[in-house]
This record gives sequence, structure tokens and C-alpha cells, in this order.
Amino acid sequence: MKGRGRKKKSTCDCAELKEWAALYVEGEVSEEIRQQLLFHIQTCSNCAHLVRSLKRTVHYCQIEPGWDVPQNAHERLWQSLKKLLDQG
Amino acid sequence: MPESKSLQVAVPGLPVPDEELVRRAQKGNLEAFEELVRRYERKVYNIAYRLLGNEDDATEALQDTFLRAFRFIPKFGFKSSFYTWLYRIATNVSLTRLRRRKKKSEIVSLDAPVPESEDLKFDIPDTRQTPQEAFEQKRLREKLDKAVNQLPEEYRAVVVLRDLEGLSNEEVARILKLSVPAVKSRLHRGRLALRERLAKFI
Repeated sequence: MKGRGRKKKSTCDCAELKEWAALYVEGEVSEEIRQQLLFHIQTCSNCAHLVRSLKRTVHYCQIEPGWDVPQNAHERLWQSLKKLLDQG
Repeated sequence: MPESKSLQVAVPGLPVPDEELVRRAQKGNLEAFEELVRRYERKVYNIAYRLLGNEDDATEALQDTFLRAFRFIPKFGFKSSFYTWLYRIATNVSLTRLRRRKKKSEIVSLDAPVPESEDLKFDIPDTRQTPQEAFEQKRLREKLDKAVNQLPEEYRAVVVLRDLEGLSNEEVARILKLSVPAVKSRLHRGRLALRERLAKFI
């Protein structure tokens, strides 16, 4: 962790925020770092936007249901398997 | 499915757990293997499609994965869940295909046609949505696929397995043979890169 052993900081800079953003989104940062990030976000609209859109991106990926298997891919798979299973 | 992994025995009325199907398949029960294919065909296809970025390669990888799984299932030692083992095969098959394709394209790239980024290959209407909603979802999904496909390979596999397929950091680490901190670090970089490409659409 950056700053370990030094005097406690009240905020962080933009580069540090970018470094911590993913863990922050996951809720995995320490309370001290969380407070620094929150303080920074309140004063920096660019970083506030970064965190918001990062959250949205991760959330979208997590709820995205994915594709159904196309019919031809499904049929080819089962044909190959049937051939293999028939061989024993 | 992952939810059933804690069940160790078949319970009437509940789906037979993966582990039980694997044991039956190891004893030569072909129907048990077919059931495993039915359960994971869609997941494996999506891993392959998102790593490879096109339907033809994903179709080939889907076949390869299950043919390999069939061949090696007698050796499955229950040290991990079945699906972690299967996803590792799917990921390895897909990444091998991706690297082979890259090598080939490096040789012929000067004359290779530019891929059609807006190619509408899929038309799978979801009856729960209005046509407009289905169209929007499909459009967004294509943007996502394109953005994932532009990620560097080392970030792509982590983002696909962790965020799109919903595995834990520990499972992704086992599949990719990485440490958990390495998974977290790649995930972080991958998510930031994906955000840059998707922020204006979502």
C-alpha cells in the first residue's frame, strides 16, 4: 500500500485513484483508502465520472446474458459427439 | 451448474449433481456425459466466442473442448469442480486457436480483408422483449464483444472468465494458472481498458 508508515493523507491524486479504482468498485479497499478516494471524487469530476462508468461497465458485464449457441454450432457438436460415442 | 456443486448425492426431484454425472461418465455411461454437454454447451460457447471473437472459431473450439473432455474425463480426479476443469479446457483450446490465428495473420496480414465490425451474424429474438429492446440489447452486446476482442490477450481471458462468466478470482486463477493477485491486477487493467471503450454506450 502506498504511503504505509508515513503520515496519513486526507486525499489522493488522479493517478492513485486510477490505481485503486477497481478495488474500490469491488469494495476491497481499506477504510483509510476509501476515505481518500471519496474525498478526491468529491473534488474531481473526471475521476467521479471514471468511477461511475467503471461501475456501470463492470455491472453490465456481470448481467450480460451472452449468446445462445447457434443452431449450426449445436448440430455440429452433437454430430461429432454422436460419432465419437458410437465408436464406443 | 455451479450452484449444484455442494450436492454430493443424487436427490429425487433435484438435478443430478455434476460430480455424480462425472462418476457415471467415467464408468462409460454416455447419457451422463451428454447431460454434462447439455449443461455447459452454452457457457463453453460463450467463453470461446468472447476469446476468439467470431462464430466459426467458436464453433470449432466448442467441438474441440467437448471432444477433449470426453477423452480425458476418465482422468478427472475431483480436485476441482467439473466446470472449472471444463472451462480450463475451453480457455486453453480457445487461446491456442487465437495464438495460431495471430501467427497466421502476421504472415498474410497485408492482403487480409478488414473484418466487418458491424456484421450482424446473429438473429435470436428474445420473446420477453419488445423488438426495439431486443435490437438495443443485441447492438450493445456486439459493442461489448468488439471491445472485449480488442483487449490484450492477458486481460481478455481474465475479464471473460471473471466478469462475463461470473467465476471467482480463485477459480480464474486456477483456470489460467495464475496467482490471485495476478488475476486481480489483470482484471483491474482489463476493466479500465473496457471502460474506455464502452463508457459512451452504457
